[in-house]
Amino acid sequence: METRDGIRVLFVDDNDILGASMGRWMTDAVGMRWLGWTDDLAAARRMLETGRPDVLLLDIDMPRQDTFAFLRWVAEEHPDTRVLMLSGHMRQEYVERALDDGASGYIVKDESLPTIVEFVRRAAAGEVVLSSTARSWVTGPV
Amino acid sequence: MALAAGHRRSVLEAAAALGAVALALAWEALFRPGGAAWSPFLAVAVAVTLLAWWRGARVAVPALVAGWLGCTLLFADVRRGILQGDVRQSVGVLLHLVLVGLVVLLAEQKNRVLRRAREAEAVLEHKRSRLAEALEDASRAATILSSVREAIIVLDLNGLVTYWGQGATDLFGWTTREMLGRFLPDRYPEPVRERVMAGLQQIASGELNWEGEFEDVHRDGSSVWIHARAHRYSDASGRPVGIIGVAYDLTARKQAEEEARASAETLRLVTDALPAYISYVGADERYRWANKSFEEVHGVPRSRIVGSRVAEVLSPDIYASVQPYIARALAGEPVRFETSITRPDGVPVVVQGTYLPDMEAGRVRGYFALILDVTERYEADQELRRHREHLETLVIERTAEVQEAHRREREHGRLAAIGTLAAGVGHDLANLLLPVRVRLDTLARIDLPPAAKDDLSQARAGLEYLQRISTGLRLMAADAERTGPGPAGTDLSEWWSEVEAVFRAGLPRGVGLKGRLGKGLAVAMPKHQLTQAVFNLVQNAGEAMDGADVERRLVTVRAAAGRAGGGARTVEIEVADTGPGMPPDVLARCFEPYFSTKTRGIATGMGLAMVRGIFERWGGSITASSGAEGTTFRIVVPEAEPAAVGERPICLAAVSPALGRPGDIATVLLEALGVAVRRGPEIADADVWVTEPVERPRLAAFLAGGPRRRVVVCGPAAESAPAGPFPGIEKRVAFVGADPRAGELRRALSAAVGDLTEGEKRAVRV
Repeated sequence: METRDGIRVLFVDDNDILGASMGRWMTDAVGMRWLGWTDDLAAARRMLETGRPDVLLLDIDMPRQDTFAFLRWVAEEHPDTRVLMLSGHMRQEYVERALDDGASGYIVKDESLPTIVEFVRRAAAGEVVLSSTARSWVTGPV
Repeated sequence: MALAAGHRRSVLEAAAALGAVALALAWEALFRPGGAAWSPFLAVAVAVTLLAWWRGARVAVPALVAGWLGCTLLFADVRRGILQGDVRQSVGVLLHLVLVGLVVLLAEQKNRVLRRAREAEAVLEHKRSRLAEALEDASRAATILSSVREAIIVLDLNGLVTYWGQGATDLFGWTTREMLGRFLPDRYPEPVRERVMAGLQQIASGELNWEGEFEDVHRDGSSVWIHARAHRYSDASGRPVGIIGVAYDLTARKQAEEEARASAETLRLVTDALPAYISYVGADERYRWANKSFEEVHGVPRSRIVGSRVAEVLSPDIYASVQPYIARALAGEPVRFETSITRPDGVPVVVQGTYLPDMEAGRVRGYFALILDVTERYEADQELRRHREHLETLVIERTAEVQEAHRREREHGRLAAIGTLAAGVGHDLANLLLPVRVRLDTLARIDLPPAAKDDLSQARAGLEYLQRISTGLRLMAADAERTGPGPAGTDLSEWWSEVEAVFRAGLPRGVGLKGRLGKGLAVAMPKHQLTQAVFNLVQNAGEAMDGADVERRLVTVRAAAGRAGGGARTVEIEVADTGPGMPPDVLARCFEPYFSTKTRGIATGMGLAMVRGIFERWGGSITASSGAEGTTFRIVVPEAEPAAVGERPICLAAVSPALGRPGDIATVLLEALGVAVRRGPEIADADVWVTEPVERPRLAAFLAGGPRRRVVVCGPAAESAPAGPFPGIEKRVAFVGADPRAGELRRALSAAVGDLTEGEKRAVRV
């Protein structure tokens, strides 16, 4: 999956501060190729078409936008793109729904950036990943 | 007529006398032409005199005198004739005498004949009179017999019918004409005929009377019940001449008796079948009747009960208990009562009695007694009453629970609001902290002057603090009802580092917080529940000291290993304050659901009762002590197994490489469950095998390797359902479908891992 010029990463989040910071960090990260950041799903669709990202970091809680529908669209139309949900929420139904809709993992935003980058690498390698906080969903009541 | 007859006789006598005179004159003329003229006259006079004498004439004496004189004269003539030699005269006189004698004899004979005729006529008249009387009697008797409604039959001694009354015709249907002269037994069918024959023979052999009741037959074939009485009768000389039979129709009476008997039998059957003790007692307190139940319960036959006094049949204590009711019933008052008695067989029962007086013309003849065993009903009533009381208790308890639930719901609502707020703040903090962390990390890569590096270090410390607050807020927001313990416990030192900041932020200004939680301690309860419960205790402690006049206001959280009574490892956590302490009454009630000394709106809303509930839910307990030095809440909870909180897996799972995305998801889920995962075909040492559908023998072979081995098959059950000699094997295999949903796969894997008992969990190195 990973190309010789690094893992192509696209970031979708409505937090512009985070978007800019993530861009700066990812740009410098070894083995990563930063495709960009957007807070608009329509723009994200176009960037997916043009950039063919390996990993898409997708926020959940975006005003007036159905990110899960977007996730299903990506899984359907761009099966080679791994989607990692990156959210400040830790809710059991969000984790289940993300995995059912085709996400390759769920990362809560309390992880450090190196850890996030590591998750991106593992997702690009085909793994399904859960951040430590997200794993608490697994140990919840059955 | 008698006079006429007498007159005729006189005329005849006069005629006879005149004839005799004429005959005498003729004779005189023939034999005595010159003779004395006295002789015929004398002869007539003698004849008349003798005739009168013979007839009993009232002039007998003069007649006799005259007769004597005549005879004297006649004999004088005869003698004179003889003396005078006049034979002719003497014969004439003698002939006169003979003639007169013949006349007299004829007259006498005639009179005798007449007398006998008169006697015969008198006898005949008498008999005629008797006959008329007899006819009158017979007519009267016939009238009487015809008016008698009973069947009267008269037979001769041979059994032939000589009389068949109208009553017999009415009763049996045969007419008099049909039955007269007929042998009576012939009209009866067998075996009645034999019975009638026997009765007739009985009478014929000397019995005077015969009487009996039997079922006779009407001419139309219908049945007629009769009472018959037969009597042999004799004539005036005492000679038996026949048999008189009288029969009464008993059919109506028999039917009434049969109906009465059937009615009595029905009554007996009904009363015997009734589950009640029924009897009738006379005014003399003696039983007249009792049903079968009554007989059975007393163990005395009815024949002995009937006639016995009540006091003799009932036991003394039972009689003493019912005697007042008997007295009232015999006084004419219907009585209904209920009492507890001990049955004759020793069984204690509750009975309901009803005594109904039997009144006749204002006089009490006795009373009907109906005794019902109502023990079951009584016990049912008692049971019902207990249930009702229990139900009322339950209602009260449930009402209290509902009120408590409402209160908890309200508190949950407040908690939810706090949780939502905390979740939102945590989310926003995370969103804010992540870019800050990115910037700081970026700065850290730059070769900064020492002062800037120091600033950066300070900023990073502040960032970490905020990060812990974010984490703590998330723990506070976690939904207690939707989060389970999981296989891992909560490491206390790690937990404290996450929640300390939030706890400290929740304390009033001037109240310190100090944590003394050694490393290596872990409790077997979820982190968020521990956070919520301890946060409330810390917050309570802080509020207890808020404004208190104490030298140092400090909340201390300590933890230490301990042992429970049974030797189980526990962890003791203390939350202590340096406040003024709680009064004894407050301390005694502080864990009660509705008890609070706080002003509403300040606290999180979770009372100490709910705090206690959280710890008890996880097998722990909480107690409180208070004194002048402050209040201490002491919590004891089970210690988590070291393996549960460490990095080492508790078992090994093999996930088939042939599984695509389900295998990837299963891998991360198993890792989250604390299970070491091998993504490969090797399954020999695995505890859990996650696989695509495989052949049954292979599946069974894996399960045969250990009693606790589990398989999760991502595929339809029909393709690899195990079969063969592996009882209970189905319970060890879960089928989740070829493309399972994440929640379904999580549940199957959690169940498979959870089935491994504590004793069988083992740490393995991958």
